[in-house]
Parts: sequence; structure tokens; C-alpha cells
Amino acid sequence: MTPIVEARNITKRFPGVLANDNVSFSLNKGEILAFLGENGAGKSTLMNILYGLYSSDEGEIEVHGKPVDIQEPSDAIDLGIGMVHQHFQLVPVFTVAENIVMGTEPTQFPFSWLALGIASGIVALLSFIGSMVGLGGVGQGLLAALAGGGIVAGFYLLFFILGWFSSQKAQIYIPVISAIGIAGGVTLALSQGAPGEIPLYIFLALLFGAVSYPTLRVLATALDRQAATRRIRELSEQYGLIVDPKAVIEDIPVGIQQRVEILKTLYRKADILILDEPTAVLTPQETEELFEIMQTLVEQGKSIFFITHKLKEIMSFADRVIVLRHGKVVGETTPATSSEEELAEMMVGREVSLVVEKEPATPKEVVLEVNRLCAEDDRRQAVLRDVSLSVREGEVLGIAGVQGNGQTELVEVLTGLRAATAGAFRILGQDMTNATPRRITELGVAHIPEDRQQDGLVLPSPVFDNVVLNTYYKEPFAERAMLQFDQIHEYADHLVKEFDVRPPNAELLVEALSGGNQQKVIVAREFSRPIELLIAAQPTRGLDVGSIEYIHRRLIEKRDEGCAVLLVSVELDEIMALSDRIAVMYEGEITAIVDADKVTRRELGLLMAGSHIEKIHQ
Amino acid sequence: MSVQAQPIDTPKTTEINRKDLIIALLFLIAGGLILVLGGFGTQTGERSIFTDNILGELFSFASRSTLYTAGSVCILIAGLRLIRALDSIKSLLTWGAVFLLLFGFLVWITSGTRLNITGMIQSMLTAATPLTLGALAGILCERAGIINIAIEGMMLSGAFAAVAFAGVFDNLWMGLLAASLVGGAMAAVHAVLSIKYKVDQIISGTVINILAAGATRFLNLRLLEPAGLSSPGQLSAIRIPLLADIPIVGPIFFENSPTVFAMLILVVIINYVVFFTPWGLRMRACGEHPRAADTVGVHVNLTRYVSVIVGGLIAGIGGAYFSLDVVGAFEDNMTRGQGFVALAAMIFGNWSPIGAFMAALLFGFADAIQVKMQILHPVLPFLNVFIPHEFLQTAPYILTIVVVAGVVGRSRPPAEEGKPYEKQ
Repeated sequence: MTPIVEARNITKRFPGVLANDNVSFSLNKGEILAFLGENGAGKSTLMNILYGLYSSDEGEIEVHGKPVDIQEPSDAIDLGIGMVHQHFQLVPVFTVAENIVMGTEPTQFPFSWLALGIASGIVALLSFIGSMVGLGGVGQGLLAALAGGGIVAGFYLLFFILGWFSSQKAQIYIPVISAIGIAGGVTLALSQGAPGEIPLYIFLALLFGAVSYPTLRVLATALDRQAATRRIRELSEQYGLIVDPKAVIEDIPVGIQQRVEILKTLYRKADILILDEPTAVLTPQETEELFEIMQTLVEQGKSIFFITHKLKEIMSFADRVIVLRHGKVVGETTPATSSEEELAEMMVGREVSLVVEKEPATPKEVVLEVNRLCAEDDRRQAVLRDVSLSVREGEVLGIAGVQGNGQTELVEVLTGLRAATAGAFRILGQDMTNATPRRITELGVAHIPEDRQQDGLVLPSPVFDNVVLNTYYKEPFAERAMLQFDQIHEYADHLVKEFDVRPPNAELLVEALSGGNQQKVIVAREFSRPIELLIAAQPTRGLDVGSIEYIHRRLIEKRDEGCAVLLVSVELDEIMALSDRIAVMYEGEITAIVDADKVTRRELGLLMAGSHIEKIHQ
Repeated sequence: MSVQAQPIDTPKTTEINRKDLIIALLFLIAGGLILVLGGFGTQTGERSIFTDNILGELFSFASRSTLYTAGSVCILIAGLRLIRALDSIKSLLTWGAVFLLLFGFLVWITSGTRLNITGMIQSMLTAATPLTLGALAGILCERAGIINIAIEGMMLSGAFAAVAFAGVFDNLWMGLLAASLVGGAMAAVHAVLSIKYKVDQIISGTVINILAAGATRFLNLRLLEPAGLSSPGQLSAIRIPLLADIPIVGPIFFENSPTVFAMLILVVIINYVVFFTPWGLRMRACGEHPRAADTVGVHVNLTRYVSVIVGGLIAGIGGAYFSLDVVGAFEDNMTRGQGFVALAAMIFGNWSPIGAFMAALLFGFADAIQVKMQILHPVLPFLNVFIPHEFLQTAPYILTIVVVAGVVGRSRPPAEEGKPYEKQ
């Protein structure tokens, strides 16, 4: 059997990086092929090449046994390839149906007997009234009504004919319409006895011919929303992807948004699906649902590329796995003949420990105490509701929850970046509710923000500026109003070495560093002053396994030094590996606080999806 | 952005939110004001008479009781808002209250005299014409993701081109066509600057405005005036036979200058194109999430070029209104900031053609009524002073600030507006 997709020797260079180096792979019909690799290993690049978002520098691709040249996503769509991107490509304010059909919309001629009837009826009535006022006489009035209604209908008919005509080729439409126009213009000019105006009329006729073509193409095709809804319902039922076509994207949960993305590819008749890190934003339950959906798809003859860096998913799901490292294929295996440890080693290139080693916590005094805290989001909707928790010296409190359940806002309130609308929190016994970020920082609070590029760093500034962002105004970095650059440089050089930032050069702009090294700059800044409380939000998001190991070790070190750590993460594995206690957030509330060693993955998953702890234990 | 999770439901409490509270209070105050105007601003037995050119007297209201009724209904609506009753027809009630306020105001200033209501609506529509055309240009541009503060410049150059080409061809219609084309050309400059060269769109727009002001002034002084071409005359009104004879409706809708007709037709067409055609869907996607549009094969930058340029063509017609409709000649800076008011109408109308038209009508109402006030000189009760008509001229701007501040209604610009799109 020939494979459905076969790629040979794909090479892609970006300035300074070899993203894909001589990669070959093939996909069989009805197979789920997983690509495993760290961030930057070239998985997404490879799939983007297959989908036409990038073009490869070398190599060839065959689909259904025929060599193909994929330049644009539309080429890939025509070949039956569909891609679900890591960041969903959905317009938040559009409906599900609009998002699915966009680009290949079902259309209809904007025709309705009712509209035509009403329009000509109104004009007929108005003509009748006008005629009665102007001339009098019912007979005249009726005649006028007939004429008025007739003219409206006539215009509509003309639009219909031109609309139909414009759906033909431009090479036919434009010359014909222009010729008619020119003939009319010349006749008019001659009949008015002004042959001098003929060139003008010719110009106008050509202009009309050229302009009316695209205009009519747009005007004469209306969206057929009913047909779109019908088709989506059919697809929904066929593949078990239940969605409401009329719902607006921004109102529906991420799991459903993902279904919309899959439907988008199916609507375009894709039989080869690329899923780029599809589970990154899902709860464990949603992930299971996704796997069921994938099973249905495969049973109905679809073939799937599946990109991930999560080992568990590969073991439970893929038929075959290709491991990439630094753009090269380093191995191909099947889950049945391999183990998680083996895959991790292939992926990273060395032995890695998948468990974080730590001693049991020895918590002491309460450092952070949060009492019935409430806050609103940017749209003034309640987003934190009576949140109460406490973190003690020498322990890690993990906050688990699906993204968007108030964790971001909680961290913002605790670091002084967002106003609390009710409730209070104390740090080291002092009330810090709605205090300025600087007061909170000076009290000994370190913050690793969720979005390191947006909130953590000044990207176009050098490393040495970034490491003193929260201390630059104090001695020894400043004396009176002057910055002490010698001191700052010395300090930065020292930190770069101590925290192993690569390349080890504090003069570099932060934006030139990789994600992992950017995070190290933040960690260096936050950890290199006396701190009592560490608030870490998604500290390892987007980092590779090596960097994750490093950050985890540092966090545990801080805990063991007696720092209180509040860890917010959407990665359940991370929460379970690092936390001593786990608080679950759902819809702005803390729904449970449990000891980390007394809870299972499944229970946490259910809590994150909104179940109550009593129900789970029943 | 697309990876937000489930939004948190607003709790269903009887608690009233801040926005509703403010609206209710505004209606309460306005209602009270109308009651005061009724009680102290009118004499007993005074009547407000609305007339029409052809039919003569249309309505005659007893001023005081009418004002009392309008004011009370306003307060009633405010009360309903406060206790959250009739929530399902909330927006209908809001518009009802706005209408009552305007009506009350109109009754008060005509108290004891007569007002030609048809003429009033006509001048409202005329004043709304350049605003609506400008707003349509802005909507096309901004829905596709390009900020357009250059409407003023496009209209001004359109106004100039209309006069220049009408003179050269000795044909006003050619002037209208040229106005549109030159507006489109200015828009093309804006498009190239902001799409191809990724210039900040505010700066690009400002450049166009300055260029238009300078270039038209220069060309007018050096070319048009010496050649004696600067006043080609006015476009005459088109009268649709029969329909124009209908009382009230006829003079308002069927006997107008070509630019007013163009405006009415374009509002309908653009609204249809933006919201009911595949092209409109793709164009809105380019303004909201261009990458999503790109991944389904929409040519984002091409779509943006087309939208901006078509917008410019429409703004050019708006420019011709000033020179060929109102004056019949070109004067320096004759658009007088109306391009920016058009921008306000666009925002007020929440980036929808029909909404912008409504907003422009409201602004047109303010404009028409301040002309009337210069004649009628209504005296404020207690203070015994005339309301300065300049005060009403500021109404459009105050209304817009209120709307943009998010106090009334929800005004939401396209999400990716102002950001150049780059393929990965």
C-alpha cells in the first residue's frame, strides 16, 4: 500500500537556524502518526511546510502517490490537508458557522420573492399616492402604480442578469459590457449632435465595464447561512463533534473551539489532519474527549499527524511516533515497543529525570494570607469570587485550573497590578490590599509573570538593564539621581554566570535570547535579592525539557531556603510534581484545597472541570 | 487570545450594573428637565405647531401637557431600567426615551410658534450626508483593519477635484466622478503607506490630512483661480417623477441632490456587503483576526487594499457634497473638520453602516435645530437667558465622548485594527 503522504529530505533554513534537516516521513491511511520533540525541534515548522505556510528549501512531498508543490494553504486545502493550529485560528466575534465556512462559503443569489414583492409593492403604492396628488384620477394612479412596481422589478431583473453574467469569466464579461456601453454612448453623443464627446463616453463605458465586474461579483453572491448551518449539522453528526453553529466563538469553551477547528478542516473535505499540540489548552477530560474524536475520525478513513511534547499522550494514543531533535529525525518507534523514559531520552539527547526530587516540606509561619478576595476582569465581569488561601514559609502551594478561570487575575491582584474589589490579603502580616507593586516588591515578593515577554522583560533592552528593573533606584545601582553603570554591569555579569544564561553576555538585547534563557534572566532578577514570597505564574510555559528541569530545581531550592511559593500552572503534571498543597480554581473560586500526596490526577481533572470534592469521593 | 477558556457567567442577581445605573440616571435627569421646561418654559394655552410646506398645519400640540407627558414617560422608562423590568425590550425603551427627549426639546422650542417639520427633516438629512459618506469610508477601512483618520483629507481633496474637473470638462457630473476617483487615489496613498510600508496608521492618516489641506490650497490659488475655474456652479436636485409629489415623504426622500441619493443607496449597499456577503465576512475577519483569514486562503493585504480604496472613493463623493452641493465653488479647508465628525459617527454607530447613518442623523438633528434656535431664540426658564446656539453645535462631540467612554451602549472596534499584517 502506498502511503497517503510521503515526504523526503525536507530541509528548511531560517536565518541562523536549521529548522529541518533532511527530514523524511510517511503517513499511512487511517494512522495516527505522532511527532515528538522539544520546543524548537522543528515539529511545527515541518507541519507548516506541509500546510503551505512555509516553503521548504529542499525536499519533495508526495500526496496520494503524486508529487505536489504546496505554496499556499489553499494548495494544501485542495489536496485534502487540514491543519488545527496550536493557537486556534478563530475569529472571536464570529459565530461557529461563520468561522467554519469562511474562505469557502456557501452562496446564493440575493433573491427573495418576498423582498421583491415588498419593494415593488411599496414603490407601486407610493407612485399611486404621488400620482393622485399630482394629477388626480384613479386610472392614472393605477397606471403609475403599475409603472413604479414594474420599474423596481425591472431593475431587479437587470441586476439578476448582470449578476449571472458576472459569474462568467472576466474576459467575456468586461469586453461585452464595455462594448454595449460604447455603442450606447456613441449613439447618445451622435443623437445630441456632439461627436466631440465620443472619447469621453468610450472612457466611461470602459470604466463601467471594468469596475462593475468585481462589484457585481461581490453584490450578486450573498452568504447562504442556512446552507452553512445545515452542512455543519451534518458533519457534526457524522463525526460526533457536537457544536452549536450559531454560538459565538468567544462565548464557548476551549474544548469546543477545538472541535470548531477540526470541523473547519472536515468542511473543506480534508482527509489528512494535522493537529499541532492540540492538548496544550485542554483539561484532562477534554483531552480524553479529543482522543475519542480522533478515534472516530480514523475509523472513518481520516489520517492524522499529531504533534506533542507530552509523553503520556503518545504512549496512550499514537500508532507510530517520530522523534525530532534540533531539526533532525533521531528515531522512529511505536509506543508498544518503547517506554516513556526511552522517548524522553531520545527527545532530549540525554538522560532526564521525569520526577522532581524533593524532600517533604517543613512549613512554618504563614507568609501570604488571602481573605475573601474579589476582583473584576477588563470587561468588568466578576472574575475572582471570595478567594481565600494561605501560603506558609517553606511550602509550595500550587494553583491548578484550566486557563482563564481567574488565576491570571489572582496573580495580578497579589502583585498589585489589578485592583481588588472586595476582600483583603496580607503579606508577612501587613495588609497589602491594593498597595502599589513597588511596596509589595520591597516587602520581599518575587514575581515570575505568566507572559514573560509582555510583563516580565523589556525586550528591546539589554540583559543588564533587565536584571535591575526592580532595584535600579536603590544603592548600589543608583546614587542620588544617577545610575551607577559600573555596578550594574558587574552585577549583571555575575548573574549571567550564576544563572547560566546563554550566550553569557549581559550586553545582548533580551529579545535575542531564546525563551528558556529569557526566563533565566527573570529568575536571576527575582531570586537575587532577599525574598519571602515567590509568585510564579506558568514558570515553564513554552520551555524545553532541559529548561523546565532547571526552573523546577530552582523553585524547590527557594522553598527549601524557607521561601513561601505560590505556583500557578495549567500543566497538571507540573502542579503535581512541585506542590505540597494544591488549590483548584474554577470560575474564579477556589473549589478545593488538598494535600498533594492525597490526590490523584483524575480527581484533580474532575475538580478543574467544576466537580465538587464531595461528589468525587462518593 | 483564542485560547481563553470558558467565560465566567455573570451572576444573575438583581444588582444593577454601573452602566445601567448611569443610563437610568441620565434619563431621570432629562425627564425632569423636560418637566421643568414644560412647567416653567411654556405659557398656559400655548401650542406647538408643526407644519409642512404643502399640507400646511400637520400637528398641533398643547405644549405644556405634551411636555408633561413626554417627561413623565421618560422618568417611567428610567424607573423601569432601575428595577430591571421589561429587560427584554431594553434597547427599544432606550431608543424610545431618546426619541421622547428630542421630541420634547422640539416641542419646547416651537412652543407658541410654528416649525416646518418637513424642512427640518430635509436639512437633517442633508447635514447627515457628508457625515454618513465619510463614516462609510471609515467603516470599510477600519473593518478591514486599517485605522482611517484621513477621511477629512480624502473629502477635502475630493471637494477640490470636483470643482477642478467640473470646470475642465464643463460638466458637474464629471466633477462628481473625479471627486470620487481622487478620494480613492488619496486612500491608495494611505493604503500603500500603511500596508506596504507599515507606517503607523495614525501618522499616515495625519500626513494625508496635511497633504490635502496644503495641496488643495496651493492648487486652488495657483491653478483654479487664475484659470477662473473655481466656481463651476451647483448640482441641481434630482426629482423622481410622481414619487416626489407625495406629501412629506416626497420632498424628504425623492427630491434630493445626487450626493444625498448616493448616500442613501450606499448605506444600504455597504451594509449588505459588509454583513451579508462572503467578501464582507472575509474583510471583517481581516480586521478581527487576519491570521485566521490567511490560514483559510483569504488574501489579507489585497482585501485591505480594496477596502481602503473603495472607502476613499466614497469619501470623495462626500467631498463633492461640500463644493458642488452646498456652495458651488471651492474654498480653502471647506470640509471644516466634518471628516472627523464622520469618524465620530462611525464610532457612535459601532462600525455598522446603518448605525453610523443613525448617528449622522442625530448629529444632523443637532445641526438643524441650532439653525432653528437662531431664529426662535427660546428662553431658558429661571435663568432668563437664550440658549447659545453654539452650545448645540458641540452636541455631536459631547455625545461621541460619552459613547466612546463606554457609558452608553457598547462600542467595540475591530480587534486587530491598526496592526500591519505580516505573513510568518
